[in-house]
Amino acid sequence: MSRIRILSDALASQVAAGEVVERPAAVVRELVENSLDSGARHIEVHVQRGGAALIRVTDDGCGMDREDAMLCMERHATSKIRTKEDLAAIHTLGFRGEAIPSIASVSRFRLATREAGALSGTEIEIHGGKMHAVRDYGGAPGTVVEARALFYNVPARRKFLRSEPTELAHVEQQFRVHAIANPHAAFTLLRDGEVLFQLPATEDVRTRIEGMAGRELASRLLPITPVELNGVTVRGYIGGAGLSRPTRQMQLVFLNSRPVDSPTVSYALREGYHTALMKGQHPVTFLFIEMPAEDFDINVHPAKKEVRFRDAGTVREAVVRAVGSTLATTTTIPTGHIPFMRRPASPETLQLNTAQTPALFPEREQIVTAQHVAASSSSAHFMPRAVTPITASQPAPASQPIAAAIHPAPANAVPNAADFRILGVIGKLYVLMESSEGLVLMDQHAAHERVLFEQLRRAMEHEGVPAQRLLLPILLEVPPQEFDVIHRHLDTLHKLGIEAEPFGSNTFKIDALPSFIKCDDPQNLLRAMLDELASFSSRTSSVRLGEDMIATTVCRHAVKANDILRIPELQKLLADLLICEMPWCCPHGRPTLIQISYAELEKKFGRRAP
Amino acid sequence: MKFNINKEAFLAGLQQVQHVVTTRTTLPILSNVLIRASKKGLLLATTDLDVSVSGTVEADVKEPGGTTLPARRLFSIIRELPDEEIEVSVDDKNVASIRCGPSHFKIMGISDEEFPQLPTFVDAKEFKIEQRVLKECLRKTSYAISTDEMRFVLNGILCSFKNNTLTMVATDGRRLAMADQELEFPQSNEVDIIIPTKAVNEIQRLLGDEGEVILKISPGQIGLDLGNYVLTSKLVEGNYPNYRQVIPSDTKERVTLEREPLLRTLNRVSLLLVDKSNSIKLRFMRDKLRVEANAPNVGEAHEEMPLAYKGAEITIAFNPEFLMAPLRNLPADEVHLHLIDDISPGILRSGANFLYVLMPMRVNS
Repeated sequence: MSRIRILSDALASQVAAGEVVERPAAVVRELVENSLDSGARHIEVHVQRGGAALIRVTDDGCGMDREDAMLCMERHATSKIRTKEDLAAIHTLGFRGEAIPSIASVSRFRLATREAGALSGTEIEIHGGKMHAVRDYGGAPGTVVEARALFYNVPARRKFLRSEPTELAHVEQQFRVHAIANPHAAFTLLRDGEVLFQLPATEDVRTRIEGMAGRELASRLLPITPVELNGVTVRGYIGGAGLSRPTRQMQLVFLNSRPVDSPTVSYALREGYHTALMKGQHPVTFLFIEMPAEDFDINVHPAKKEVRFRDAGTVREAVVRAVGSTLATTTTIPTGHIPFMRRPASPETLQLNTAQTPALFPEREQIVTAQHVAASSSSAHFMPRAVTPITASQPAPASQPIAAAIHPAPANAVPNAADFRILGVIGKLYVLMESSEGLVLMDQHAAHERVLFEQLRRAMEHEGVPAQRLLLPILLEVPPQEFDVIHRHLDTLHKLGIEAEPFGSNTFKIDALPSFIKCDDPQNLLRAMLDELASFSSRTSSVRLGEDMIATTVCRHAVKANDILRIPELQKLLADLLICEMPWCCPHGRPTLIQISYAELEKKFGRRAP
Repeated sequence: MKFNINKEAFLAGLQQVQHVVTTRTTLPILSNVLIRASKKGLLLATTDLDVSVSGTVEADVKEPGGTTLPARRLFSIIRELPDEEIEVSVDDKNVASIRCGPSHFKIMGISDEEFPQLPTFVDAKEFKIEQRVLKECLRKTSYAISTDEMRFVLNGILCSFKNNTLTMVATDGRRLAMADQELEFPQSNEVDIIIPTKAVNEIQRLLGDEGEVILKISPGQIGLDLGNYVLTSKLVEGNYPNYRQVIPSDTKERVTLEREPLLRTLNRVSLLLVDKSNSIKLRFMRDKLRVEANAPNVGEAHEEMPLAYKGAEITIAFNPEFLMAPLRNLPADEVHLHLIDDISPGILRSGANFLYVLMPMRVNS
């Protein structure tokens, strides 16, 4: 008797469901994607018990007629692609035709849909993959999909569900990424009947980010200077220097409005941030990459999170440039964290924020207030206040006091040392300064490290790195892929004082090492450089590879905490810092300057409603 | 145990053994010096389990016995005692009582039974060599020892006993120093050993200018008997790289240089350099040598010295520290530098017994 047999449809769907639907958040993802593909302007997601009891997605999209509604229950039935060519250039979020039957096979499933203009719609109920009922439906145009008792018939899978808050957090993350990717659609998220998020449709992504992630974070984002390279466009918002998170959860990347997770892009972000990011931290990004649909393949995994680029080099280059140039042109001092200032980020608060019409940028508010203070109290002040806004990218209002008119801020200029008045040093480490926007603190060690770091790097770029030739060459054996990476970058290594040449398969002979570091362990040195080499772009300087070593070197030479600096020394340090390429953080990514604005001070002293 | 001892004698003995003691150890006994009193006098010994030093000093022993006391502390106490005569007695709980004039110290020790066994040498290969000669060979080579712990075989000096010659070699992969010394020994004694850096330092400290030393080598260990002191050490296990292959057989140019003036010139010119990574340039021109250094944002320096040089003009860059190290440690008045071109190694020779290979630096322009 033959032992191999064809699986029944219901069983095959359950197998497929294992890949597509691994937890409630995945159901939310699939259903929201369907809604977006149907052209919905408003999408409501309702979950009960973290999605285990109920997931309901209601939209006002195009709906389906009865025939389509019945057909979509079949596996590999989709309206989104028809031909092979369509698969090569996918414009919709979904395309596999797997989601609906997969979800239906592991839940008590209900689909109700009505096309706009149709007299009546269709309601279908399926329990564990078996058709339960089909009837007429008289609801609003659009589609309602419900999955109740998820995995009720797959106990093994059900056991793998985590606690309700965990699953809810995953649902929220799915909701969040889609909401940010599609600001033109209104989104609502309900938990057990209670509204968690209510996001009105908007044209401005920033407004949506504010609604989702809070105003405090949104105010610290920088708009990306858009980059267009060989058909790849990069725009969006990224966190400035010093803003980071321990996880990648806020590193959101959208490819043609689809949230994706791509190592290529992660590497490029890291490279773009470079020393502006603290070691072991991840950037906060809302990166929108647009490119022709035929230049990438999203059909890698059923969950469609992975993506393959036809030309990964261009994508990397575009992202590196976008991030690099955005950070380079920033002129805003990172604001200080004052934990007790912030209200608890409860869902209610967030919802309240979003209920407002598109809010002013918080930065703009701060400037207005600072100038207001300056104008109203200028007579009481003993020093002429330079009101050149630190945020030089914001146009200064016409009613500036004279001081600013004499020294107008050049567009997009980093503030110069004259914009600050040094008040003193606390803790023999933090330099207190007054600026037009409030109180600015400078970490003298971090600031000096940055200054020395850039000086030494410039010197090395300019004069090259002396290489000490070796009496006894060192043989370095590496895995094949790494051999290839090193081989392609031999010239770069040469500039850094490392002379290596291939020596048989997967082995390099190292004839010379840089003399400026105590390099006792070339094997480890090169291994550490491999990661950096992998994220190399054409923009990167060869000295870039040695930066870790430079950073360690300068750390020893920089003034330390407890070193007492006099005012002229501090002024010089500040002036040197402000002409650096990346003045806002030290080579290890820690901030050099922190600002506490007048707005924050006023809030704390109760002069202004929080 | 009970003995009387002269302060200077006690101090000298402790001075010779106390350097082996490590400051940080998890084994308290290793911080201590072993003291054994017998008719022969007072035996003092220390060890870090790799290197051990022991010596005997004269003492008036009233009651034989043994104990161990914290070496560094004991040394500083003895050094500061007010009188010449010291009276030491140790009870059976290893508490030492030290009396000297009006001073009285009580120090807690550890039983001498816990002290590690000192190595013994049975059927060892023995070599006899003048202390002065061994000291000079070590001085000519030891500065080139590598500190790179990844290549541990280079963390010591190779001593090769072959063809009635002792050859000592040290290298850190950038330069290599080699010293030869004729020595009579039977062919059955031929052996290659690597003496670890710490032992090299201790041996240099112990060696004097008079008398002989007997080297005893058995598998994995070496002993040096200087008469009143004995040092034993584990050897570095492994094969030393083939150093002969890095010594170029043919060189193009040969210049004779006066050691002291050259050292002073190099020292002066390199004052300009910011850190040790910078290079110093040697330009050999007709009848003169020009030594140059320049450091960005600091300035530049050069100095010329007359020279009987008729060869092709060569400019070669070296790490100044690497070039000055052998010059500081050689006794001869003249050294000879052999060169090929600006990227090949330079060779410094002094007499027939010393050779130093130094790799040049490449300086990007």
